[in-house]
Amino acid sequence: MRGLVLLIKFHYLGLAPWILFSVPSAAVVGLQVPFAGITAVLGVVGMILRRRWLVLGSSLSLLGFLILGKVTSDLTALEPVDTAVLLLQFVAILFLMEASMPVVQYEDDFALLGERNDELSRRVATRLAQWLRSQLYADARLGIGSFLTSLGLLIVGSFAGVGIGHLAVLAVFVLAAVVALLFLLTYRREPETTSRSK
Amino acid sequence: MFTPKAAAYFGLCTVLLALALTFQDWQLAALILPIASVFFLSNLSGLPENVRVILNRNVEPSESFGEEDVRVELHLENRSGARIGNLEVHDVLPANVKPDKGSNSVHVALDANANEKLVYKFPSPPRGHTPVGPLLVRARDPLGLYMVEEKLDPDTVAVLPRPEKVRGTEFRPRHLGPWPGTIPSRSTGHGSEFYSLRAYSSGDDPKRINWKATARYGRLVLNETESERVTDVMIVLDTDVAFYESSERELFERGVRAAASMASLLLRQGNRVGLVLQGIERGIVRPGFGKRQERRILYMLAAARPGSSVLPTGYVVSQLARLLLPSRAQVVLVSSLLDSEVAFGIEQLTVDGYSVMVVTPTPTLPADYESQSEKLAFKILMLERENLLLRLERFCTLVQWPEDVPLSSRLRTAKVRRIRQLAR
Repeated sequence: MRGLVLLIKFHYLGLAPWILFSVPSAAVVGLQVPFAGITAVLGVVGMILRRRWLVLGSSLSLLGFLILGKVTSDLTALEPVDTAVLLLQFVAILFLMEASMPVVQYEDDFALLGERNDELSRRVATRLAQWLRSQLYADARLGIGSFLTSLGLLIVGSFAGVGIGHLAVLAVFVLAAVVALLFLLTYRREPETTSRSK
Repeated sequence: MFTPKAAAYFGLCTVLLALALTFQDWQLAALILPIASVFFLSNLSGLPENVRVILNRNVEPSESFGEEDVRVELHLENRSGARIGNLEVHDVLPANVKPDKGSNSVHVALDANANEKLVYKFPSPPRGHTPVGPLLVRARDPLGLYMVEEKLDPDTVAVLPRPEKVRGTEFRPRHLGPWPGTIPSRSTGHGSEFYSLRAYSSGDDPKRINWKATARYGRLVLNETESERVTDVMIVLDTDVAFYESSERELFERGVRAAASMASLLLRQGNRVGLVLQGIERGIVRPGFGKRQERRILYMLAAARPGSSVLPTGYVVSQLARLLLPSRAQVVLVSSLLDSEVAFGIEQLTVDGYSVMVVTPTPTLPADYESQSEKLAFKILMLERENLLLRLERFCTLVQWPEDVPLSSRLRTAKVRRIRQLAR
């Protein structure tokens, strides 16, 4: 568990260079190294100091670099990257960002307990550890699940041999995506209201 | 309901779609798939369809004199029929209250139909009403895209002022109740003090025969005692201590303690006692008897805060006494005597036949002054107060209570002084 927390704390050291060295050099005006360094350092510092905005900022900037790289390669007519790799990078950024939040929350709650070593505090610490484990497990399951689902859908799309580059097909694809999104967003969801009990 | 995070993801999808359309890039559009999958999977296995968590809180002790730690037990019961993996539990506490055992803010996972007991303790807060809660329980899916909130209303921990052990003081109101008490009634009856002699008549208790008087008069003579009864008392706590700055807090707390001690003593003696809180915080406890009344009065005193009122104390006292008390009953005013108009109100009450006792905590002189003008201002204030005390002494019982002196001894002194004045 401790190892997993450390891995999430320092994931920016691996993720930032991976993303920035895979985007076209023109997208970041050849400044991959400083950008990767800054993003990684800010992310790690955010994780260590438990500053959510720093962690979020680093992850979102990586996401921005990834999309910017894709747009730049479109504009400069460069060879597109492999779709599976792009998808993997996208999912990795999102889910490592999502996994970072419970870790920061866990350390925040743990810091509140401070040096206390009484029975009640120890019980809270145990519950927190259980919660973090369940959160990270659920995040990992969702991340892998969504990656495999997306990849599966793309592969099915390729098998069908649809000329996906055409505007009309793209429009259908977009329309289908919007419908799918609406369905996915509203599936099993009724408006919830705040309730009280006593 | 959706969280802002869900909206942000939806916004990201929109941006990706717009870019994909602009650049006709299906790879960008394909990036929407993982987000859509996440929403789908979160709905499928994230939060249960109907989140229902039953909340309960048990605070012990809910009332105390501030000597023991407060233990809060939070009970959570998941009645959703499915596991809730991400439950944020936060029992809101005031800034000055920090748990020293356990935590008031915790994240837990709760299995279907499971009960969870979360316990934390904090040192007793200072005198006052301290809210514990509201308890907020937020159930989210693992990624926090949806949230359901349950809320439990706050409870209150009342730290009551501890009454001092006051042995007794002398009240001589003209209104007396029908029940036996401790106040001499100026009439014969059951009591402990000698009142007069009378001739023996058949059926009288032979133990009460005064044998010396019998020998002198040559017939049986009986001792008669003065009956002692209860009365109606209204205690008024004036919370205006605003000009004393450095000793303000201590002076105010002494006033609260005096009011609590007087209420406790008078109720113990069987009197009907009420309370009027006069200041920034205002309230009335109507006169009543017994332990429950003592608890009511202490509960209200726990809420007292220093601060001046819009209405002058003298006016409030004279009006409320007429409203709450029978005529010619007893009024006890606990005040630092800043408002000189209070004398007018008390004078009116004595004219109307009420007996008034003023208990005034004496302000402690500051160790040093910030400036010469401050020193002068303080001296003028003290002189004005002395004048007021002299004026009040003419028509009511006055008890000055300096710091570090037991209230009991001051009340005894007041009694002696009053008797001397009557003798003159």
